[in-house]
Amino acid sequence: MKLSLRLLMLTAAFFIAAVSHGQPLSSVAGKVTDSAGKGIEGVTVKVKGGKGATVTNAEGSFLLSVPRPGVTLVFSAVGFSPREMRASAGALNVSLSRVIENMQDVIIVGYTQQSRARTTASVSKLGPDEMKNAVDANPVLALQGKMAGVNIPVSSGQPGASPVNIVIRGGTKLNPYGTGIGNSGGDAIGSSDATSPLVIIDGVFRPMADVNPYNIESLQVMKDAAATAIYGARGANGVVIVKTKSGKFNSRPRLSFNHRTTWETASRNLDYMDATQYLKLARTTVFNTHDALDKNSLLNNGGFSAGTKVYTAKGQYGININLTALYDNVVAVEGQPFVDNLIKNKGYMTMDDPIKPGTKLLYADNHYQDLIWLTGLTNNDNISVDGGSDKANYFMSAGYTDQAGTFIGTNYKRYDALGNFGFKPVDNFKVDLMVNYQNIVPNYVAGFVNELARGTRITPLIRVFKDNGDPMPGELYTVPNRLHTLKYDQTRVSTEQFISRLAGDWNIAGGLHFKPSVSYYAKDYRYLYMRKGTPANEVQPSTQRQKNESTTNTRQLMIDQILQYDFTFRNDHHFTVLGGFNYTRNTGNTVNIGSQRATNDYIFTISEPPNTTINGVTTTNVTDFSTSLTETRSASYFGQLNYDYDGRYLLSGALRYDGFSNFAPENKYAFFPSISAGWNVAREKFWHITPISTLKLRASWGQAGNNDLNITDTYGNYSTTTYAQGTGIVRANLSNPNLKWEATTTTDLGIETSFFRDRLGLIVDYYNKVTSDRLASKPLPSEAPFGSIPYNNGSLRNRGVEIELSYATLKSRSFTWTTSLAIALNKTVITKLPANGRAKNRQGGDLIWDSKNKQLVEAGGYAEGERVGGLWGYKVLGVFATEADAAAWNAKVKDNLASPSGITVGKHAGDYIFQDTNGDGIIDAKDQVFMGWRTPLIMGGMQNNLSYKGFSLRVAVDFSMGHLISNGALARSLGQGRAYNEGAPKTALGSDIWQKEGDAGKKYARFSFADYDFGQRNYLRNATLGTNYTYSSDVSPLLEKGDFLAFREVTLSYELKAAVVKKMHASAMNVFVTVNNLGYLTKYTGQNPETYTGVDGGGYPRPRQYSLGATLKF
Amino acid sequence: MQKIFNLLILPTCLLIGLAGCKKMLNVAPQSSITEQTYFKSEGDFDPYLTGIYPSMRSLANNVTYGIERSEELVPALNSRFTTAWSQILSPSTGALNYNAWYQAIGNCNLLFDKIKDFPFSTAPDTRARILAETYALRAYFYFHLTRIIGDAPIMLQAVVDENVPLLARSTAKDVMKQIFSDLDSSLLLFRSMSSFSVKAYPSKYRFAYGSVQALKLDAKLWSAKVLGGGDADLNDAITAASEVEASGLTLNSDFGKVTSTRAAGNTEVALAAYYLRDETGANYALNALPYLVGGAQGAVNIDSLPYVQTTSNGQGAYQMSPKSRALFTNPKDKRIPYTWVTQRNINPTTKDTVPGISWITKYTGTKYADDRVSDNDIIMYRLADIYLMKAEAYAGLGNTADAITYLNKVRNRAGTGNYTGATDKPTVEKELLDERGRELFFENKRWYDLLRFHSAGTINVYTYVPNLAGKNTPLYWPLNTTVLANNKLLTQTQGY
Repeated sequence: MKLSLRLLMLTAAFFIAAVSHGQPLSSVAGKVTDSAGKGIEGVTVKVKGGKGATVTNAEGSFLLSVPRPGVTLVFSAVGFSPREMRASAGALNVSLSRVIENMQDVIIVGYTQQSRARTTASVSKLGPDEMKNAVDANPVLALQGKMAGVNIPVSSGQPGASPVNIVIRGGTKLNPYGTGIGNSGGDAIGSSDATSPLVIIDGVFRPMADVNPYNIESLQVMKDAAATAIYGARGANGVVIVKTKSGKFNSRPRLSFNHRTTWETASRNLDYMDATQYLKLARTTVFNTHDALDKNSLLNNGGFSAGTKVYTAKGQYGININLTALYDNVVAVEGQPFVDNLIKNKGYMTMDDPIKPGTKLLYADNHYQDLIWLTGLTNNDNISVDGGSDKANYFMSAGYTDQAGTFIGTNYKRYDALGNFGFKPVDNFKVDLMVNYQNIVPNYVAGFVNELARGTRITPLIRVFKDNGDPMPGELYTVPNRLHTLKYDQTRVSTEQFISRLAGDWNIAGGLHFKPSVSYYAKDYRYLYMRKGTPANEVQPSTQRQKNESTTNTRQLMIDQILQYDFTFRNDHHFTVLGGFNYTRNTGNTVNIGSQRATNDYIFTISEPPNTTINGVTTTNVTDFSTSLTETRSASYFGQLNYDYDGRYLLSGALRYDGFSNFAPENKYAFFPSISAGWNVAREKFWHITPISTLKLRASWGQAGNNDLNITDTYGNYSTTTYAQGTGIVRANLSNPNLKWEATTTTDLGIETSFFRDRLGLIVDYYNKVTSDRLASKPLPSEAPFGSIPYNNGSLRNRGVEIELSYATLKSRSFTWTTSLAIALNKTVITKLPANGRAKNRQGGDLIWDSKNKQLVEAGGYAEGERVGGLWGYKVLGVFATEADAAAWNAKVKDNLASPSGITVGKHAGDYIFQDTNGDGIIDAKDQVFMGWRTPLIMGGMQNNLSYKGFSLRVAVDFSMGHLISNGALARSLGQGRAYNEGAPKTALGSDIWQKEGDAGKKYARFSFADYDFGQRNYLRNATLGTNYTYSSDVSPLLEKGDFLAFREVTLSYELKAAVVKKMHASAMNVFVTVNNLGYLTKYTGQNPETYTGVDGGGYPRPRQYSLGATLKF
Repeated sequence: MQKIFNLLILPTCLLIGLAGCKKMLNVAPQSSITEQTYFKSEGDFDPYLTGIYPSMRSLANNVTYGIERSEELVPALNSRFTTAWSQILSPSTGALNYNAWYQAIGNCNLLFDKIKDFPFSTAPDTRARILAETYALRAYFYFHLTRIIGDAPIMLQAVVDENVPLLARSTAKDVMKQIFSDLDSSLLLFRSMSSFSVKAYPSKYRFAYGSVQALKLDAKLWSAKVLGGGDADLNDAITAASEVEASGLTLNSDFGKVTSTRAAGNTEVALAAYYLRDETGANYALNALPYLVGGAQGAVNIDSLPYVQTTSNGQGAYQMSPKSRALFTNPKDKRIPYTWVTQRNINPTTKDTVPGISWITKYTGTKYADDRVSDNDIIMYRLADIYLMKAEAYAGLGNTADAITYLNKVRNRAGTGNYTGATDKPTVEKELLDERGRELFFENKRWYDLLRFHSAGTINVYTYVPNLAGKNTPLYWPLNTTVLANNKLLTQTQGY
């Protein structure tokens, strides 16, 4: 603490600067227009080589004080070629031509800024246009498909949800997409390896998910080592740099309002049967099945929602979980008027029992799907003001978002405020102050499995409301009725973040700058939960009147000191030399408390005694009771050198020495170097190919690190347990003090070229990225006390090609059409693993039959030279059309993977014919067959911007190819898992499914109940080398190609005519209408083709979003 | 250039001091107990010992190895069996990864290694007790494992890093030798305590002198009958049984209280695995309890069914097999109501009462205000079991008279009176197996019982267990591909 205080004070001391100033003598006025003659707003007008600058107003006009008449002015603006012009006596009219953005952009490389032409790094950049109409509260989602090699896997439609990782060039881990599906508390659940890039927002390391997209001015992603090595410690997964909006010196105050309303509707939901269809199907299925179900219990003792039972007293039917009943029985017990009322006024129906004609069934449709999937309404408002004098500039904004999801009871609310202030007390010293406050109040779905996978599939015959209007609990608390959850389970979640940063830029002399900065990031998360007492005549949850509170407070202190020297030697030798230091300290404190058996339902806070006596045993009420403190520190020293000769020959190098506290003392520090070079061929005198306006070749090599390890990996951990109400302590993992930094070495070769005066731009990159000393666990022999140990576990390689193409297709006075395309190809391969005596040093995996060489071979897991993410499954040869076919097979083959009771029953018509790959007469794990890959090989996107006069149209699409998805939601619905109460999809009565003796050539096996417990596991079959996840199916007909083209965004916006706007006393007004996630072009039949985990278990599909909005500027 | 370089260094290290540079990254773990901090005081060993017991509990609760392959259970409303129940085991189906056993063993080995440096000079009894319990636990883990796989690697080293000694499988006999060595060490240590008393059971949930003797009895019987240890082992078994008898246990007069009374106050229990709803949740009997909707509802005798309100608390997956019910030939057997109850339903058409599922009524859990939860302590050794094992040892030696004496102790409590059948060795041994089937039904011992009596020739398990009939599945489990792949010295279990 003392140390950081000293650092802080020292840094602050540098905010005192020397004094010097200049005096304006004359002024120049003028107007900057585009090729169509329209004024351009926001063009920077600067005196070349001197002081004084301004920015054009909404009409493109400017007025600038200059030291003397006849100076040269430089005009520059994003999206236009800069231009120099001598100030003349009269008004200066300047026309700027629009360019392809890529070539002229200013790029931040490490701690310096460079023009795109002079950088040797592979960097993708997004302009403010891409963020302008972002409909999701989370800006990460807006990046999808826009940059080559940057993949945003979004698997949930939950408002505010984040992708598991931002995966750049395949990441550096084996499992970047995770195995989880859906989310819990806004976070993806299931195991995944953290492989997200370092995100730096206005110089502060912090996550991007909760940043208001409205405030983002530019966003760039740095992909190769030339750009990331300078971030050493955390750069291995790429670096995302976000700059928020700021005011400009010498600009008029400007006030902007922005409003957007969005309607979200569910898209691609599973199409379930209605009650009438389901009742017929369910009763006949149970009646006819060969599976060893207790048919009598199911059909006649209310064993499932399509089963009847005999009611004996009034009121029983109205609170029974199943809506199906015997008509005559209910009439006898409740009376004819009661039943008549149900039918006449409450939508109840009757039907002849399909398995026992002559018996009349009474039932109703709960319309559950219509109750839980709604249209979500979002309101988003932003207000900002910006401007500046010659000494100061400012940007202040306040935003409010309330995004409601399509799943009932989910939303995301955010209040945020941002202030960016620049002060220039003297000409050679500038101070920037950033303050940002966010308050996030979301309502997330508690968990994927219970709430989304099970809770959304309740059959149409399960009672959702009792006769008194109260919701029923659902079949089980683990298969809940969402409406019951919403009534009795209350959560209050809030996250408050406060980020502040003070940064100075002291121009000591000439090109020598000293740039110290300090930032503090505070985040307070609080989760409150209260489960109210539920009616006593209901099934009760496992803990009653449960209350929980958890708070997590995290703090991050960051101190940077940078010394930079820019100089030119003999006119054409340009140097930038930089050295710096970064110190980051992260601390966290968590407090978790939980208690049950509360005395009341009125307050969220816990006021119960810690113990109670039940059946004479003193029992604790405490369900959760823990606190934790964490602290990590990192310190880094770095240097960077950029050199170019006349803009033709470029050379850069960076060196970083990084330390991180979680490593053992001797392994704390590591070096990460990089070097890169470029050649602007088109700038050579010999270059005479006019159509090619720029041509740059660049190459880079470098290393970046990863310190993704826990302190317990290095030092070990002993955790507490309880036995017989006494506390025990036991070793929780093996430690490995020898762990060292994971390093990622990237080689990148790139060509950047543009044709026809920059109308067509092309960037091609080839990279080879090797991650060595992977921080991952290594399997140990099973006789060890733990299955694995944290280890520097070998190397993996990502290799690929990226292409970014941009083209201004049409350009006329009033019509422009620009298009940009990004394509990336990536393959992840394990290159090295520690020697373990196995072939290819394989870790994990299983033995399967190799049909080609007629032998058992090891496959799966991870092995040297093998691509990561393979998917094996059981191959289906067809569906038994007849009983005779099945009997013939039973005589020869045994399916050891059917349920224990199903093995006894054997195959029948309608079951899958599994391939006996090794021909041993037994279906088991050895019969697994390679099916494909979970992760795509090629991904990309395309954006089109058309503008005509004030109108502009934007169409964005993106795509992925080469991945396989297990349609787990369908498998689960057709096989009904271990249960009997999941709704059935319409597929179950479609033309593809076996329904009766003699149905030949069908794709799907029979619809069945309890496929896992009693059935043949036609659907609920997991392969040891497959997705191996309960909510997926490793059976070939359920594994589908995921290739898709997503219509991500269509936006039409209109810029009101200046004359109209003037009447409103405004300077500009833009109205827009947007549709997001219109749909997919895909053969995949499940809910979410954007699944790269191999598993689509259903859940919370991404919504289709319709937005209307306007921006008004004064 | 040199100047610039100096400038780079100046604002960083010089300003905060070189010492600061080094110290800057020293962060002590604040919320994790690490290798550096633990086992630094004598007080660290007792909690560590407690921390090993949950492993014992989880093995005691695992019915895949203790029951599933026996004849005791058949599916009910649901089915929660593994393929062990259908006797389908192969290296690629239902094979074993024994890492959980070696994790538990590893914890014992670590404790032995660390305690070396601590003399406990002021509390030698504490040291003796900790060591005695730990030896007993390690013996229990190895005994549990060898009954499942036979030959097993003997890991005695405390593994603290990636260097795991690669071990081949030692023969089952050698494993038993290790077990007896640990048990004898344990008993010796108990006896060395100044406060030693044969009758001391400080906790029924942890190993004490009496329960170590019970484990020794069990292991000797196994060694004698399965591994051909002969009369010597049988005599040792009898000695161990007598030691348990001397520890002051008494039979509950009411059989209903045997499994429903908490072990802490249960005079019959020598050792139990602790269960309580709010500490552990449910035990394996969760799968045996019927649920109301679609299960118990509508039954004529619903009040005598151990039903639960929701399938979260009872899966309705197991019922008592006809074969196990058939062992109860005497309708006066007082154990019947505490062993099973047959649900009686009304046939909707004929209105007749028809028998349905035979629900297990042993380990029916605790009825709480909201629902029933199967949180009975899982009994590992109790006096009736000891009597029957002692009888088995006598019978093995041909001393059927003493065997019948001990058999009768159990029968008399059950109300079935003295044994009156033939007194030849095969008949008495078969009777003992049947009596164990009645007395200890669903107490997670049946498969091991069958293996002992199969090895001794009393039964042929391949004809006795319906699901094994016509199969040649070996009686030990196969090792799975993960286990075999990570240690080249291992060989697959014989027969696979």
